[in-house]
Amino acid sequence: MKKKIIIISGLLLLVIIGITYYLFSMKFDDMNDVKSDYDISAVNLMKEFQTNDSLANKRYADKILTVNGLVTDVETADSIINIKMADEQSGSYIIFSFQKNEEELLKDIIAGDTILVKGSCSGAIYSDILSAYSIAFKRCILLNNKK
Amino acid sequence: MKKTLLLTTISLMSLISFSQKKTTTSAVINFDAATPLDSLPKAVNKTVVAALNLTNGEVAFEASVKNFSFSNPMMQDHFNGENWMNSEKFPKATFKGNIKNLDKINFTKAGKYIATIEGELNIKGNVKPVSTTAQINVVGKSIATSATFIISLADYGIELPKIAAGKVSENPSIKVTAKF
Repeated sequence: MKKKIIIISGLLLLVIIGITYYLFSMKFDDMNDVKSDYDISAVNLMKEFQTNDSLANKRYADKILTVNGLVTDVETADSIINIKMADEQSGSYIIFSFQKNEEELLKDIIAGDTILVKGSCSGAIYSDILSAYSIAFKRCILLNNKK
Repeated sequence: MKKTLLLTTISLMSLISFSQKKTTTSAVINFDAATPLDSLPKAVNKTVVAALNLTNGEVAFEASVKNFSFSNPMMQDHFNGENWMNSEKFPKATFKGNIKNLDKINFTKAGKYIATIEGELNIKGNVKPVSTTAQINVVGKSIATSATFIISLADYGIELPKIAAGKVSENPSIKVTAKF
């Protein structure tokens, strides 16, 4: 009987250690292997957030989006390259930050290019500094850089 | 003619006053709550909005809480969850402050400067006074800035569950770097 309890407890402990190890060693999938939930143009995405940001946040936050649009700015700081698609009239913008190893592809992108980007949408915040909506993305990849 | 002169003067003046406030939408915050027991609770947000007013020394930043990127999906979920940042309800974290020794910094002369910053950090709806020093590096027209805040989670209503004791620092660091 005692032996049984010891064996069962040991097994349980192993399962718990296994699950914990699994959870802690999990990593986000490479964006190349993730299916996108929505395909949308930058202009329409900005429109949706400007019309009703709470509705758009519900729909798009934490979702994978493929966005096509016109690059208005490429912002670099140290090793970081962010790409921006802005609505010049309202000042609102979409900003894409990228997953590792995308720099090689990004360095050729310039303002005026039309590109396709896939990434995890974090929704929009209203920036009091800029008086505009900022729609941010993380872990993005560039799907094409055709001009 | 008079009108043109007036318009030119006004637009020039607005240009000058505008150029004194620098902003960027690609400032970076590195969040680090790692401990010797666990090196995982680290995140980076590369799309922080930051502002620096060269005339009156005002500094500010705004970060989308949801755009903090962790390597581990479970950690990112916890970070955004109700007990931690509650990003659904409080989607942004902000800082507003001033450079206290503005007279010691010459933004038009290349060099390295140390700025004393005082202000208020707003995390999860809790506003607390904070102070730190910032490194400012002026090279040509570019101004690179970097500052680290050490915060106490308890100050901002973030309680660590017992299971996280020792694995997540109760005094994480927030390193902000911005290039204007």
